[in-house]
Amino acid sequence: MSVGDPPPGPPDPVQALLGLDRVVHEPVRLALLSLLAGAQEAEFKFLESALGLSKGNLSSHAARLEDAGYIEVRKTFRRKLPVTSYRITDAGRAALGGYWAALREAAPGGS
Amino acid sequence: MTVNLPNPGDHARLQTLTERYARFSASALGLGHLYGAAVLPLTFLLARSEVSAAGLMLWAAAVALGFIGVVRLTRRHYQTLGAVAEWPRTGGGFSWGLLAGVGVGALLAWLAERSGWVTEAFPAFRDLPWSALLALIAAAPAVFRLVDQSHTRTAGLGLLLLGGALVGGRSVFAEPWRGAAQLAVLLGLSLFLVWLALRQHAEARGVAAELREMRARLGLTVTP
Repeated sequence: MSVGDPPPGPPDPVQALLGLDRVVHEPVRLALLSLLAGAQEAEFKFLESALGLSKGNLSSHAARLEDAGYIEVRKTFRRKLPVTSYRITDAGRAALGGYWAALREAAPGGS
Repeated sequence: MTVNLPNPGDHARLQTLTERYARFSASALGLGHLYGAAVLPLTFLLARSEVSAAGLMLWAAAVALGFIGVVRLTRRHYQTLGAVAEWPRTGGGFSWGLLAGVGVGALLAWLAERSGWVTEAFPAFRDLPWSALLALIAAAPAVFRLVDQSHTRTAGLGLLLLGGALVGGRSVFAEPWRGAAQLAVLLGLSLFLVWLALRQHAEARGVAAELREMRARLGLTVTP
């Protein structure tokens, strides 16, 4: 550090909040990632039941996460009926961890 | 200006609840333990009775294969909110190793009996139910194949206990207290399995209920 530089201060909470990953920050998507982080794979029905969302709402949030590369979708058939399952990716896990780290930085005393 | 930020504790709880739900959805037997609690003492008493070797063999094979049905029923029962796959745990290798060990052990015991050594050293085991044990060993690969890998450890232990109940039931001790002690141990195990079944069932219901409650705690839109 040169003589003229300002001394390093605590991180700016506003900047930290603005830097939060918007894809993860949305409450439904954050809950989706938290649910998927606890299992290897979960069926659509489980996510729908656990979060109490409509099919369309859940699908659109899942699609957003899939576009970001945070989750993977697997479509299979069980007794001739289509079954959609989701799993969190390494990128999704990293994004979730990074989100909580950024949040701690923004609000060290809690939310 | 106030900013509503998510509570990390709530989301950590959500992740833990999913892990626990996944265990019931995939590998925990829950009420299925009642099957073991019922068939183990029954197997022991049947082996102790005058049931023929062929009858005992059929019973052992039927109990082993019945486990597959129990696993499928309990899985369906505990997937009320949908199926969730848990993170894979070790278990398959253990069960196949156990089966190989039991197979080699049974072969050595059979050779020892043929040579007359067993009846001399352990007179209580002069009537070992070989055909029934063989049926168990033969049924084991089918059981391991037809249940998910997460259930093979339970299946391996279950088959081992079943074999123990068969051998225990067919053994004839000179001292009556030994027979009574065998039965007491088996009944104790049975009671433990009943307790485990009820405890796991209550836990599974609690997890499902708490998962539903989490929606409100997280402030998510609840649809009817």
